[in-house]
Amino acid sequence: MTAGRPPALALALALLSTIAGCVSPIVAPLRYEPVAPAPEEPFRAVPPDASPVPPRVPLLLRMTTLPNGLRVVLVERHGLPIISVRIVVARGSADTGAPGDTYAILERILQGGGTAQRSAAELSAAYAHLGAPHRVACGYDGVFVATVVGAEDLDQAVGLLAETATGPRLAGRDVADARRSWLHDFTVGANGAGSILSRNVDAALHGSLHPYGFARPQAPHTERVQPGDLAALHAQLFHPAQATLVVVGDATPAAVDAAAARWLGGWAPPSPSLERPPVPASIPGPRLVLVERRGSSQVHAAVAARGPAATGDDLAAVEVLARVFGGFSSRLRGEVRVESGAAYSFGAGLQRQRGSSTLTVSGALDAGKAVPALRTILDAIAEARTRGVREADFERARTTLLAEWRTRVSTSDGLASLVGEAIAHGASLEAFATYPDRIQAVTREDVGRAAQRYLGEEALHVVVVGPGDLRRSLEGLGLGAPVRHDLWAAPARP
Amino acid sequence: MILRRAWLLALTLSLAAASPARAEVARPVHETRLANGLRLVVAPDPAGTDASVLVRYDTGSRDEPGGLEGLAHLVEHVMFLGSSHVEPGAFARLLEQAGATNLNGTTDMDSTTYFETVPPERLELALWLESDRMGYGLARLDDPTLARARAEVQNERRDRVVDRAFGEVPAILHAQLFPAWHPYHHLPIGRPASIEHASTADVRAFVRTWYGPANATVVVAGKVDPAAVKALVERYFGSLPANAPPVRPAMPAAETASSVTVRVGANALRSEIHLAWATPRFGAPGDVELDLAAGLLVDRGAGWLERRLLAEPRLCVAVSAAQSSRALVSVFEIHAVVAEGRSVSEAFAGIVAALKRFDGEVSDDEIERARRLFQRGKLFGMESSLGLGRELAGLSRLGPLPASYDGRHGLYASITTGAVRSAVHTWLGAAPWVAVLGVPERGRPAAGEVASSQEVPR
Repeated sequence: MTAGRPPALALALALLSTIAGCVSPIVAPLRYEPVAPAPEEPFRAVPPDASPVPPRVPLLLRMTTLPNGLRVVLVERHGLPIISVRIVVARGSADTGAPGDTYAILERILQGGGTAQRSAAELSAAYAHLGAPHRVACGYDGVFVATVVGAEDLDQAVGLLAETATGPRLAGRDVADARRSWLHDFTVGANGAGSILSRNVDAALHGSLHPYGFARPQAPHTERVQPGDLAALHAQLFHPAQATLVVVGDATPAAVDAAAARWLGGWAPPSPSLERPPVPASIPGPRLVLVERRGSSQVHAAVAARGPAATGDDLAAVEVLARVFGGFSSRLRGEVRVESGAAYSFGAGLQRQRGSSTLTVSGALDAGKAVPALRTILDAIAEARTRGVREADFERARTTLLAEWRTRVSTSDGLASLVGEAIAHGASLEAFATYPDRIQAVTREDVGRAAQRYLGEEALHVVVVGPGDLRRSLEGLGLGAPVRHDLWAAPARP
Repeated sequence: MILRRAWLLALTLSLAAASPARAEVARPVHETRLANGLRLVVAPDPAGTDASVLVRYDTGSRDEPGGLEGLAHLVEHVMFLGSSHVEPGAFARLLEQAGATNLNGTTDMDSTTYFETVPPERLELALWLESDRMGYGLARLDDPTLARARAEVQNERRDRVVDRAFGEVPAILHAQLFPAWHPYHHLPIGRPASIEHASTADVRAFVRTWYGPANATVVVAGKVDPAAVKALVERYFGSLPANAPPVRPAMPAAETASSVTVRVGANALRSEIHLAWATPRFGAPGDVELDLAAGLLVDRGAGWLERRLLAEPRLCVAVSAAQSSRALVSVFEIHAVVAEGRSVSEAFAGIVAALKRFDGEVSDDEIERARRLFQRGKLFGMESSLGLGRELAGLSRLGPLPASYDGRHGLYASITTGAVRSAVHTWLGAAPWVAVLGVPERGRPAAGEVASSQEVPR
């Protein structure tokens, strides 16, 4: 504790303490004596209007289709000379049946490899020349390649994305590099607590051989992935009739049409388009999983359940339900984080997927408080299921979802990302555009019914990544004895 | 005609239509100061959809006395647990009820900033809440409240430091880079013991010393009317006592005689290299030049370090370079994650070789590429009200703001190749450095601990 001292004296004392070997930083002294209080004023007593304001965001979506079947979606935004551009493919790993490692290696090549026209270094330089990020993601339901550029660079951006998407270099050396770097990164990444938690949640909910579960990469299989495998997978995914060019920002229809025609108009279908098969039914795994991770001071844990498909009628109600448990001011977060002091990271969310979505309530929990915190989460879920959700919780959840949507669509890239996600899930643009209306139309009764339907006792899975000595106390949750191994280690697909 | 069919999907969430006018970059900036010393910066964006409020206090971990490391960050957490007219939990509840997002606070070495994004119609609520935090934030402070904040911070520290591979390296790096008397010797996250040691008296003293209007800047950006904002800020903040901050002691130069290599062992799967230099403070000559130098080294795969380390024979799997600009002294840091089968010394040699590129010619194309990286980054950040507000809050550290902001386009455009090379020679080439070599070692904590250190004479 440092009492009030003049700055010069503080400096002298600090230097003296340095000489004496007891070093304190040179800082101004803190004021331990009271200071003048702020006056009380009438307007302090009652907060200003805090009632919700529905988002009013003007959107004008324009869609055209090229003769080869490729769709072009434009949302004009003229606030700043910025354009977000992405090519979205509405096919993903759940559609192709390709092994996960083949899919991941293709993603690696699209992200960091070259193309038929340019080496990886030349392609990187081309993106960097525009000051543009180059992002790729290959997911269960879709693939995208994306960038953000200044308005004057629209044509070049579409050209670069088209080149990246349609002509990746799938030659021997590029494949070997991508395979090796992916295997290494995956091995390192797979050791993180968050990664262990997420893959075990997927496996527990869907089964380890399900497209939304996972298959552990087997090094011998990965080593056998050949350029031909990648070319075949690429041809399955990247077909103009399955692709959409999404442009959001300071662009005119004429400029977008011209760029689309120039760079993607000549994209000839290499093979018939890939019919989207229905996502197979999930084969749920154990309801309580404990993955031992020695030496960690925090326990990473999740309570998870399967929700409706991304295009399901009751998806909006389940989104509101998930938000009841999460968000900065949720009652559950207050109990776990503030009152119990059990966590810093804590939240709840819904991962939309074409087959069935994933609802999780999760956190990094203080090891000594982890099991009581899980009990609190399960009790909150049981209350929603048996008594419905409270009016205040429901209103807060609905309002924050709408607010989050408003914030995400406030930037070109945020809006482009949401449009792309909807396309990948097979949702219509109309459905995307009416999201605020659908959330606004959800009632408290809808949310209560969704809790009964999706959060039944038997539907809940608990995954814990932490010390092995949690086993006994976890048994007290009433979910039986925990399965004590990483489900990822279960036999992989042949 | 290429197009086969076209249709429009008009969304009538609002009657307003997107403006067809060509986009302008520059945003007007209105700055004023209240009688109690509070700075107000307003950046209106009529095309925006929301408004962000940021309250930046000119204090951070640099102002923590010895033994109270982590106090500024602990105070930030306390400030979310209620004030005189806002009961515990109501701050976030009222904001979220009104449709707020991006609700949070951050503490770094120099500043503590609270922020939220609200519908423009609820700007008044945000300003009312922030003024209550500024003027009456200690009203509900007691031991149980402090205990709750402490638990949050200790959990955060375990998440961000203790359970993270090489999580202790940033603290080790700063402890080597700055002498023990320097305010940057320690990090804002603090240490478990110092966080436990902080009392309610310490929290009160820190707030009394640094949280007055005379030490704060309120930034409001987005769909707002500057005159209306000024009136609201006058109403809610105008009567708070100025509470002028103390004058900080003069700081001796933190001269480092030797370069230092520190070996850190951690229960991890990979090796890492952190190489750092003390560099010119924010806004001083050399600061922006070193931004561009970092852009030449790392830029979406096209940078010299990326080409040297990530391309065949792939010495590393990830690399970054950045000039972290701070009020007293900045830090230029290169971070590399060594590839499996490669040694730390191979990767280190690769870094040194990439840095030697500054001794040769830097083409106009390359410097232009680095400029674009920063100019575009600033431009993209301006699109959200929070991004624009953050940038202006940061720039406010340099003094009065210009009447318009354009992403500092002109500033980056004016930096010459020669100036970049000169800054690199002065601040990186001829100056001592600190290298932290993180290596996997069984029996060590995941976050790492110092195994050995060695001075390298100049």
